[in-house]
Amino acid sequence: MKLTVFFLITTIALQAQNGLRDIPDPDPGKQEASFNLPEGMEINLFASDPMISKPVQMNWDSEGRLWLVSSGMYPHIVPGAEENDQLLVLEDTNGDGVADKRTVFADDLHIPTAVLPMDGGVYVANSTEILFLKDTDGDLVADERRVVLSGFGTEDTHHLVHTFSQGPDGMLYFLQSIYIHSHLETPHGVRRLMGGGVWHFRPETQQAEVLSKGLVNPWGFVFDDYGQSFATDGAGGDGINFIFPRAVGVTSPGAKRVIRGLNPGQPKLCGLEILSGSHVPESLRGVMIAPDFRGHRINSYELSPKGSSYQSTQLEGFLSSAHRAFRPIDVKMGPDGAVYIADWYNPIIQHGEVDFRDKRRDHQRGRIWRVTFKDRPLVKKVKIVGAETEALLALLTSTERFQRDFAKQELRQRGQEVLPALRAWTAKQVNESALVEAMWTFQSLNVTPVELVEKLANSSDPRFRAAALRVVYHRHHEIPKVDQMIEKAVGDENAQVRLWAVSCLAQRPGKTSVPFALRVLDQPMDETLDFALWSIVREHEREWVPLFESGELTFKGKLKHLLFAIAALEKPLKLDGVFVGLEDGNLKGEERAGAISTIAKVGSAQDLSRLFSLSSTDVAILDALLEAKQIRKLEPHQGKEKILVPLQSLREEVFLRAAVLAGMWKERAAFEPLKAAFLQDSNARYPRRGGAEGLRNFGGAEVIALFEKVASESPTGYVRVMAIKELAYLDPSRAAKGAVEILQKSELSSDAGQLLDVFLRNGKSSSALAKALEGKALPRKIAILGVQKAGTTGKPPQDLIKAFEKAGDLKPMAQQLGAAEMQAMVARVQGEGDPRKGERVYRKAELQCMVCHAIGVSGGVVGPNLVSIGGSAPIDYLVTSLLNPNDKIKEGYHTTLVTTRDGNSHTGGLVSEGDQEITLRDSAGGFIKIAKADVKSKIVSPVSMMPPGLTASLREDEFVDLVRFLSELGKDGEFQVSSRPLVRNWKVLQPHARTRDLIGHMGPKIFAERFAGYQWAPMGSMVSGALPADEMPKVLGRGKNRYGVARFGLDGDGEGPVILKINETQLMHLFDGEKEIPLPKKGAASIEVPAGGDDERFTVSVNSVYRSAPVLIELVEKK
Amino acid sequence: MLQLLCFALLLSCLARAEEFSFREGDTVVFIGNTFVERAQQFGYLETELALAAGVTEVRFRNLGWSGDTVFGTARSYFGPPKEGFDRLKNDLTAIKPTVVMVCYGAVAAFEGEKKKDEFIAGYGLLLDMIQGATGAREVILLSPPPAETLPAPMPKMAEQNGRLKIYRNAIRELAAKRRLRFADLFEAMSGSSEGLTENGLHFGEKGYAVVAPKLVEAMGLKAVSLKSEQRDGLREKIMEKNKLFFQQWRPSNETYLRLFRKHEQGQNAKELDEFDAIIVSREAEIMELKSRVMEVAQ
Repeated sequence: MKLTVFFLITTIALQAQNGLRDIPDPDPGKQEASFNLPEGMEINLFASDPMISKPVQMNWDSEGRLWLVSSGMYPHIVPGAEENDQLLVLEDTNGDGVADKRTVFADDLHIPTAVLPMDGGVYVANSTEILFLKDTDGDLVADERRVVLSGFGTEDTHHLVHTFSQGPDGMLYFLQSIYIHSHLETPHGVRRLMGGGVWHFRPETQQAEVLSKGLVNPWGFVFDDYGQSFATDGAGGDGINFIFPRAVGVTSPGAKRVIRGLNPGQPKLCGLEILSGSHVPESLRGVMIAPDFRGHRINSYELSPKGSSYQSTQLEGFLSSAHRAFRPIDVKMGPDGAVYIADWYNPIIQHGEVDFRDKRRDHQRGRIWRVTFKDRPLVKKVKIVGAETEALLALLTSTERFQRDFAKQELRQRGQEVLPALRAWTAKQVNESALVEAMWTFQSLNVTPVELVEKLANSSDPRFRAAALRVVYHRHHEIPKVDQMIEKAVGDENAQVRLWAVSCLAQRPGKTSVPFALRVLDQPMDETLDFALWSIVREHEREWVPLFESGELTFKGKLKHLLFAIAALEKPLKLDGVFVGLEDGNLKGEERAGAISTIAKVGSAQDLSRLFSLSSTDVAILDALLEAKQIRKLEPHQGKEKILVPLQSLREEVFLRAAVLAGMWKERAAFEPLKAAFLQDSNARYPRRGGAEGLRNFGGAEVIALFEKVASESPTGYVRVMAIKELAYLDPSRAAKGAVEILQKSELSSDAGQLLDVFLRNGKSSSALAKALEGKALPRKIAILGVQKAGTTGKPPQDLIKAFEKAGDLKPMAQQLGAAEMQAMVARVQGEGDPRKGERVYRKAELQCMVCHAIGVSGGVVGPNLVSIGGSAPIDYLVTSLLNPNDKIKEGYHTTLVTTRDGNSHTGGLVSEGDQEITLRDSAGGFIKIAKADVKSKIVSPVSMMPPGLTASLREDEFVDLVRFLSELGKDGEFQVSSRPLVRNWKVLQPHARTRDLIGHMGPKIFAERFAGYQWAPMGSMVSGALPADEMPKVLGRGKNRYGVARFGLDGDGEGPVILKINETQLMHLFDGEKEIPLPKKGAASIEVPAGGDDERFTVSVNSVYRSAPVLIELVEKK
Repeated sequence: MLQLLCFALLLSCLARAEEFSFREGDTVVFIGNTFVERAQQFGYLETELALAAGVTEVRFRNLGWSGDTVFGTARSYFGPPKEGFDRLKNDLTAIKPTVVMVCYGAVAAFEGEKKKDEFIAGYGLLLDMIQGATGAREVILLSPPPAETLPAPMPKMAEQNGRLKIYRNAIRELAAKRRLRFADLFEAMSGSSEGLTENGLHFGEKGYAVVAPKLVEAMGLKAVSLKSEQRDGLREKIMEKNKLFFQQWRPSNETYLRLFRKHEQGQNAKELDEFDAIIVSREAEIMELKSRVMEVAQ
């Protein structure tokens, strides 16, 4: 039975999210019982409704009181209602771990999203502004209110300015998210930030600056013991993000380049804390914990330095709950050494998908949970407020972070009067940890301790050197020997110190800033450092480019520096130095490729001629010339006739490029050779294809006539298809009739898809096709494909969609289920849905789920990662998303519609936007580059890239299983991606005639051969990590034998040996390179192998006919 | 004597010959940057102007936006700055003010004299747009107030004041050229007592209390003296109304209510219309209270 609900015509709008009928029991006792805790951990309720409600952020004060802002108004004020959100102060006066006193500090707030007591009062984020509230008479109720900063956007109330924390430097740090546009007027000038980012603000000087940009919705921010900063993202999937100055994360508007987080494929995280102190078991100290609010749990991560950044490894979960309203959104270490968790308590999270006024939204409840460890003493409360200055100084070396932080805060509060004591204390310290705290305390007091900074910049520990440079970053004006310090740090042996050196240089634009920064190229580079260097080269363009142009700056003997700078800048510059390197053959490999692509990006017409004269058959050079023509509309000013040389080439890759280039240049001498190639009859198809593409780029009446003639007269099917397709580019109305004929006969081949794409480029050609379809019938499958393709273009052509529906006799697809139908569907999913079967449905190739979506680390990146979708999305949301993708589009996944001057439109996710080009990611994951010069308009499209009706081919039971599978993703249990280091990304061998012919002689070793003709396609594991043998392409063996063959590598770059733990070795062969590793006949096995190698190092083959067990391999680093 | 001289100077700055007065049913819109935006929270500007209007019924709408410029830079969300300018135009078209009070220049002044011509050209386009969108009978240009230097380590603002003066002069010229009234807040507030600003730029409660009567006078009107509790009663009502209007014209969640995610929450945009009736009834209360306190005062 086909799924009939798809074709119901229904007029009843979806009334509400029916999926959530089972509202959990709000009894805190029940909730407490639902926690799943590791051995030795205990949890208790610190505070609950009605004492508190809807906590958003919490922070401690130096008296050990917990301040929290709460919003019952969220997500949106009701017209005429009072602004009555609260700022509460909680106290545990008798030290029993339960709050027993609550004071309402303020009750007139409007969706307050952050709170931080400091400076004798409290900073509060209040929608468009940051307030400073103060109690002047000691009753713990605000009686002074001052606007500190205003101009924050409110485009989305879960993106508002949020997440306050006090840096070790005494400054106020805060964050904003993707939809927010902020315009702050400060006495130092206006500061604007479009989209997400991290700000810092020094109250004494009222200076507010942007530290980093991007991230989707980051609500976790923390400093480690060395003053490095990290963030988590509540709508991004990269786990922990390293935040360094001028970093740009995903989705920052207009970003040409972004830097990713440390754990791609993680669930969305809200809040972040580092476990520390004596109460926490030693094994957990230094571990970062972050709430996975959708999965009702708290994840943990361990970081270790890696180059200039970090490697972050996910550990076993910190804790989890089976309670569906447990929504941990903030975590903080408390004064007693326990871990405190703010629980937003809501069956419904956020507000995009569910109506603002939905009755199931909870507006009253909220909890603070307290986690302690059995048999471990709590931390004794120390006196901070009112303590002697000497006592506070002594606390700077406490093992308890809480005590260090608040002693520092209290010293800051006391102001300049503590400086003599601080100086005296500092002079007595020998331990560098103490000196760092001293340095920060000075900084907190708005004083630059020059000698101390210099001393720590020379520490033997790179972490302290980096910390010293962070102070230089903020206070460079006050450090006399700043230039020498930075110059030295640029050559530091530690990559993170070098990163900070580049950051410091970025603060000090000048003649030497870029040349000095480029020196980091003389030592090993990594992505983070590369980003920082790229960024300063662009930011300081006005400093170094004039010097380079005037000849004052030559980069002599530093071609590598020059190449980097030019490539990063992407602007026309003198290229003589680069050409010399190419011409004398000094540049090799990647450097040569870089030099060529740089010339393509920035060279003049003369430069392009010079490049072309170097070689006319070099693929890299041809690519460079293609890019120059496409993106920059630039071609060699002379010597183009040499294109005839590569048109003689028998190398496919050379000929194809040359053909297109000749057409684009409209090189007359090439016309006849292209025509001949197109018309020639040979076994190889590429000359024809190249000829066709070349001629298309040539264009003109002669070419149109030729294509039309071949389209109607050629005896060969694929040639006619090719001609029609080319004709459709040039003259869609003439091509339409022939195209319909092809579509009528076409099976679901790539031909049909490509042909449709050509007609969907603009309204004129799609209308031409619609007209030609009048009165014609199409195979159903083709018509469905047509509707899907047309429906995912940025501006869906309604006439063509109707024409497809008519031609394929498709009934209009129901995009919404009626309330009763939805309820029935939800009940079926819950009652009958089988998530295991559903996963198999999910993995069906024709559904294409995996092409666009990842679950954890395996799968595509076009659509949102589904790793925890079940934890947040109600069932009816999932059903609606599948039936009508346009109804629900996640932030960060809206498509961009670019219309070019020729009337064509391009649809995809925005990848980057540079000075010269816009890059989109299309629905197949490929990149579309569009020259900025060609762009007429660029808008955010209301159309999803997910085609409607993808599930139309499913039986109803399959659909039910699929939804059930999605609804389980991320919940505790079988469909939670575990933190075990399993091989999840494979490359599987496509069938190749060679294996059948030769396997008799060679045995399975044939799979391990580095044979160039093999084709390997990426394939992801199931959620469990298993790769089912019967899903792998069936590679022919002798007789009935069929093999599944997959390659994989060791993830990560550890140095020690790795143990491959294999689930089952029956009918399995394993090779390291081409060398077979002997395996037991059956059962599990553990194999030790040395570290290293690429992602195709190992080849595993299984007999997929006689073996039923999937392949599951864990990679355990040997300690 | 010096005060008198200053006052005479201010009056001379008003480029129109006849004196300004409110008319029955006037709608006054304020546009500008942080100075204007924050004024709504304290209510002084509106209270003083409402009192100066006497028994004449006047309503006020504050369209100030932190960080804004004559180009509408701060008002755009996901589009280019032009989108912000268009948004302002739409707001003005909807409100149809009869009097528009414009205060820009404080943001631009940070850029120094080199950006002055660009600023004045943009200001001209803004005035054209205001005229076209509203047909307002009076457009009054306000100079930004001066910055003040607070105790160290706060930055010294002398340079910024030098630049502000240049912009003030340019705005005054523009007003004269266009035969618009000009109110010189820079002059009016120069030499005021210290500590009126929170951060060297922006007034708080205390600052607006001082600047409001000066604005009234700079416009050639007479400030009404009232007992502070009477003034504050009225002011609080005005502040409440301002809050409601703010929630309506600059709503949170606009992405979902009216922009590219309206397919998710657009159904709730109709709630914004519900504010109209609430605001109208609050304005009636304000008018009634104003009549009462003025009677008492007389």
